[in-house]
Amino acid sequence: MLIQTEAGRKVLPNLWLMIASAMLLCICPLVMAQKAPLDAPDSGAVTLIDDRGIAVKLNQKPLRIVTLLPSLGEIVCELQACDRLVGVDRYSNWPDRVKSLPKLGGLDDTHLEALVKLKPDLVLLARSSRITQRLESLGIAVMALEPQNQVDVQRAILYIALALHLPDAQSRSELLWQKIQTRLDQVADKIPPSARGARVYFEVGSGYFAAGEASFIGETLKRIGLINVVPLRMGAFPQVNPEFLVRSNPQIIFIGEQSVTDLSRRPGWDQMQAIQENKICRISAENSDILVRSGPRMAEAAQLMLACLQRVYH
Amino acid sequence: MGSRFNPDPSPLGRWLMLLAIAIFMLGLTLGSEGWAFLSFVEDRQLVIDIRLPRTVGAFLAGALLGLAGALAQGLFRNPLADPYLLGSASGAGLGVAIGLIFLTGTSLAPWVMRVGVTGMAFLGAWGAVLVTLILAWGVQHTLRLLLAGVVVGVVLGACASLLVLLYPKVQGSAQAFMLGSTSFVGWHGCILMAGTLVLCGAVAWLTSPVLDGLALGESTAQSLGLPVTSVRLVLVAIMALCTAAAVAQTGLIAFVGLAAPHLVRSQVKAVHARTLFLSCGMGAVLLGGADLMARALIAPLELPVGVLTSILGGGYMLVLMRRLSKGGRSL
Amino acid sequence: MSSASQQFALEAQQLSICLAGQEVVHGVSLTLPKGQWVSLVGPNGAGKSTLLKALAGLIEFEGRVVLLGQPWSDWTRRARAQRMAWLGQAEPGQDDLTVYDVAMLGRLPHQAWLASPSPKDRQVVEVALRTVQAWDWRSRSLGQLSGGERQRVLLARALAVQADVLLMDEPLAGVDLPHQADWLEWVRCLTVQGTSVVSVLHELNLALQADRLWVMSQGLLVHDGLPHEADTHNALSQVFENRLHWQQMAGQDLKNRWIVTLR
Repeated sequence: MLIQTEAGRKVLPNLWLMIASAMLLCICPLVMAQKAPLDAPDSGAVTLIDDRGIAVKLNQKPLRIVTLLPSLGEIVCELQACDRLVGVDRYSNWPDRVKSLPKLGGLDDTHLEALVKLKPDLVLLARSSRITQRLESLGIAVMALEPQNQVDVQRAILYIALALHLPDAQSRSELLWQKIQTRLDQVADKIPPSARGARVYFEVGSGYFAAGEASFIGETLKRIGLINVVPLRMGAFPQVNPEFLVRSNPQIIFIGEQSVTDLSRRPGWDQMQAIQENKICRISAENSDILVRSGPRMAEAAQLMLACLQRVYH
Repeated sequence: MGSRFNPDPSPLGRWLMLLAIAIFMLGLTLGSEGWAFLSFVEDRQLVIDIRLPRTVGAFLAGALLGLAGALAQGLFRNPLADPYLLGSASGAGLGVAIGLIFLTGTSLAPWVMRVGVTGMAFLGAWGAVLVTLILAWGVQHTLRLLLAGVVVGVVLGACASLLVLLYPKVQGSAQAFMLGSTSFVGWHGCILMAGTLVLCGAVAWLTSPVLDGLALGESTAQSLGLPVTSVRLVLVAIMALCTAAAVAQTGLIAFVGLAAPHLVRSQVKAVHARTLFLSCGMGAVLLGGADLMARALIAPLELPVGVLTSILGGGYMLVLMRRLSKGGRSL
Repeated sequence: MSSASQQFALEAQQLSICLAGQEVVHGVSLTLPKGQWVSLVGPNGAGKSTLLKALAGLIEFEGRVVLLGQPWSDWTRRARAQRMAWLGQAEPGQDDLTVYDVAMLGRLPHQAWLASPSPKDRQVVEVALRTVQAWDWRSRSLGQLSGGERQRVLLARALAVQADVLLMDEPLAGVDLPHQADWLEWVRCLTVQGTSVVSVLHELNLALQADRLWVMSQGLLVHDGLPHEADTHNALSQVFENRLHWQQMAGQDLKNRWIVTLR
């Protein structure tokens, strides 16, 4: 490929030169990228591979902890280490003790300076965060966990227990997990018989964003004996086709409070069994946190679902 | 340093220097709790680790954007050209979306981790311009190049939107990136930007006579014996590199690349060898000042600096429009 | 090198130009004598600008061209830029440069890369600007000028190159009548100094005052001759679809004898 410049003159293949230099330059960020911390066996030190696949090494018991994901903060508190929390993100609101802690923004606009001022020994946050790299470059220990289903929550509880250097971490996390599971089973037993096996549609966002069977919410729904109209193969939070929804004819609908008003006006929805029998469960703003967060409060979430089911299936 | 043709240097350079120093000092005293003049002494580590790289990073990113903008306006002979013309903004957005998605656990995660979202943004911006160049099959025809840039921008932007729709989890982060912020800039980023600025600045300065010749038209520049085509290719590459480096570190910052060379040209009528550096300085001061305002206006909360530059830039455009309608002949 | 080619500033043989896959100039052969002014005339779309651009080396061509006695391929781009200047139809460009800077750009082929202007450069630019009577407003920016003033500044830029061959494409666009007359003077001066000038002109009456006339139509060089000859008049009438009306003026000078009007 030659580039003609003027009469009778042909020039070197400049474009290839450019592509070659482009490739060379692209190697730069790769070469200069931060190296992941290596782990070396050390007594008393805990090394965990977090959700990013990076080994996080904690030599000492972390006494000052910052969490930037509400579910992780809830796990810390459930493990009875709430007093070690020194800072949380703006969405953390449970338990009450957390409400008085300094709020450090969200994941995308974390107040870096305020965070660093708190001098944390460990920062727990979600996987997809830009602040992670920055924190590590400042020498702060970071562990990224992002529980998306029940198995993840179980693992997160274990990892956080280990990271916190709790005595008998494994058994304590097991205990907590069993406690949650037992309560879930108790809730599942109380489901009215007429509600068992009912088809449910759980809307998480306007625009037909549903919580499918693969999601955390879906797992809870399944646990209490409901059948999700959005099957596994559609993914965790798909945007469903309204026609699909109408055809699957759910018998119960869980939906946020704001969106309830115009349900029957949605095209084709007046034919739905849930609309005709008025089996609609409204999720208030404060309850939505409990339902949506994939954390240790899944039994409470199930309890909320139960309360609504008992109401509509009386 | 006097200009090539005008023997007396303008005071603009000196003004920019003074402003830069003022912004720098203020930037160091603006902390997470608002203005804290004495915190200088107490939180020295904080200042060095966080505030200093942010302020320096804002200057460097602004300088890169100013340089890229000056190159864009010189290459395309259009006073409204900006560095994102050839699709680099959409490319960066797509790179960030892909990076954030892959970060959330796939087999490629370790590789992406190494490169980081920053690296993905850089590769995306740079890759988009490469695709534009290939689509336009070189820089021979300006119109074709610009059209290819539009196509690439639109298509990559759509791809990024689609990805974000399919993986709504990354929406917040992707959007935060698009709005621009200096809070993620560390010393590592500053070094990368400084290196890019020095390299690109040197190349741009060395090829500045071609930019001057281009002001009279491509054919005239060729008739003056200037190696127009090859230099244009190099300058497009340099422009893409500057833009990619700045966007990777600070996200998409609007208007700095457009306004900086504009403001310089309205004050100084000189050749590119001189105005290129002034554009860097102006861009640095613009972004440094905007960053300061973004941190100060609602302290301790922060505004995304890209939003602020958009508002300021929009205001500047309004002023220009009024000046035009009042009878000035040129932009 | 034959003595014949030494008297020609520019020689072309079988020059063909293809644009977008179509041949727009077909096998043109011409010679430009040294120190002469030739006008290239013809109707719109004849290929005049294209031919001029090819001679300036701005587009590809097929055929043989000899510039100042040297074959085309022997010229480096820089050397050619020093000896041949091209003034095209005004392209939209950035209007921020001052008049002085624009004229100084004409010295680029003679300056070392990134060098500051030498005293000689300054002198040449001053002469060029004074010639086109733009010296007094040399610090105004290009955008502040009217069309005619701008054209004169661009001409100064071409003059500053001090080339042996000057190719001009419609140099009088927007220039008022007094300055058109001045332009004639400037071209005369140039030819006296030994510069060879080719100009594409739509102003036929001015073109008739050249030393030679090249008449083009539909990509072919239809006629190459002296402006006052009958053959030339016939060729011109033919390419302009016989809409020209020739009038002879009683006059002292041979050249000013004919003017042309539309029927």
